[in-house]
Amino acid sequence: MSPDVIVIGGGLHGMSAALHIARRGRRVLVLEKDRVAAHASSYSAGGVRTLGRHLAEVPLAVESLALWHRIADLVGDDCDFHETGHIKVAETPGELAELEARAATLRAAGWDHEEVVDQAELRRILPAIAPHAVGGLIARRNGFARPYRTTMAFRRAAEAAGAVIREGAGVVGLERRGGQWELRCTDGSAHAAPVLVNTAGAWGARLARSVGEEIPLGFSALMMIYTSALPPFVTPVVGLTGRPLSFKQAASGHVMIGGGHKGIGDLDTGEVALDVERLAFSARTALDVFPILKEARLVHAWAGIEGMLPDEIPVIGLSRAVPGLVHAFGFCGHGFELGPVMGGIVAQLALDGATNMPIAPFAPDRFGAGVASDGAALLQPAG
Amino acid sequence: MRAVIIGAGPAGRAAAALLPEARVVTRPAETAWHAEPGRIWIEGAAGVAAVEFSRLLLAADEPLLLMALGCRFEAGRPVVDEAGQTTRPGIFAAGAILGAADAEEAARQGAIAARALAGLPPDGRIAASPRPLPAAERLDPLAVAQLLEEEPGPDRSARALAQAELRGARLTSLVAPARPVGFAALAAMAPASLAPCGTQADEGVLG
Repeated sequence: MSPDVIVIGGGLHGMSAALHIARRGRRVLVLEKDRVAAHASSYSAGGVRTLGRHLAEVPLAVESLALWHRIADLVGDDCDFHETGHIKVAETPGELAELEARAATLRAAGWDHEEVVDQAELRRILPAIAPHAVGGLIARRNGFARPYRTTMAFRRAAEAAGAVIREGAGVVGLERRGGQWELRCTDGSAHAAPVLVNTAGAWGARLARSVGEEIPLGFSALMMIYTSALPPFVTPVVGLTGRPLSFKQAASGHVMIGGGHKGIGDLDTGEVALDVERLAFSARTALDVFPILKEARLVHAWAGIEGMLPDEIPVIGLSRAVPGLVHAFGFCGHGFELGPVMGGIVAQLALDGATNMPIAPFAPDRFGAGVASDGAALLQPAG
Repeated sequence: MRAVIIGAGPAGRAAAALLPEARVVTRPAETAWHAEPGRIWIEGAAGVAAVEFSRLLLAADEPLLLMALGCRFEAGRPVVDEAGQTTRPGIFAAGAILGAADAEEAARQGAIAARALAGLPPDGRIAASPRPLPAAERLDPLAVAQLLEEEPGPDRSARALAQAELRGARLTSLVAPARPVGFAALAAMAPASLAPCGTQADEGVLG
């Protein structure tokens, strides 16, 4: 096969890009250095969240949420998506004022999906919440899904549409010659196409660096916990306003706790280690707001490697350094929800050279002049 | 030297007899929950506590502890030298974790590893017996949690090892604590505050 587009990175964003490109009738090859969904795409918290996002991300997240509500139409699988709502809890009157200001900012920008709830309403929505919580901010149409299952559903749909996926093929060299990208891989294979898509996640800056484009991408190994199965006590996904926490209960009763505490990752080996002190801190935060957890056992804790940028929003757009290269990486721990919409955006960039979605704030060269970002998000729980 | 022995079956008892100074972790009073190089966390009646070690002997079938320590596995067993030392210096394995056929063999291995751990010349040779692993589909974290919630034993160990093996040559570790632990006991270990933890930097290149 001589592909029209080569996608580098077989995570959710790579699979979604491949799906949308293939459905537009183009030949697309995905090169993945490990396995599909090796890192963040299977180890994220699976939050399908518009709540609290950076204003630049809101239009994309709202569009993507609409796709989540009919995800089976897109990929033939419901991805275990449940519309549960997401709620950000205020633990002090000051935090509640912060949430009120956020809702007002969002309304002024023309969005109405975040709604302040008072203490009585909070208690109705979250009967198990600790008594000190004073209110919250809710996005009722939000929910969660299972990340690995979702990524594999996108993979199957992409393959059914004609995409070819090659695992164990890490790109070790690339060169642009005569309007074509020529690639060499760790498995000895060589490939060429006029257009490249960089969905390499935490490894995305390495690819950019190899064509002379420096993007200040770091990475984090975001830790998460599952407790033993408990009787149902919480429906929405819960975050806090002043402390990192993301909290949800699966249908099986297991409670997932994340929110941004970091272990230690290694980009060269792909390995991660837990930081027990931070894990304990995360457990205590969860226990503070849901005392019912004192009866639980921790049964699993893990970490996934995710790309992070200084302004906590991703890089999305055409490379300004070289022709025929589209970047979509560095989702900073909240790219899962954007997966469905991103594939369409990347397909437009790769095939048409432009998109109708507002991606200017995500420009790959935005870091050059030290521009400060405005429209900051609320404290964003990873996932 | 601060030596810790996990397990008080035949291998652990034989090792403890030769290493009277060693701290022996014995179920059910104490359970080794998780480990990192130089430290192991033990859950007991009073909660969870970290125990420092410079030498460790794992004499119980807890493969996840060795994985957390970065020890390499092959054929369902930690890779060990003739003295039972894993691929991580100072970390040894003997007995059930290596598939010792019976109590006598486990005790023999425990004694060999204990001597080596104490820096004495070897007094016999240790070899691991392969552990057949079940065929497995990759599980996501929720399904892994459900697996880890099952009764610890050979079946759980084999299925966890099969998951780790699926993660392939570049993803050698199934990062997970070896045993469930009390959530409140873990929370009680939290420091009053944490220093902020920035993102890790990367200057790497392709390849």
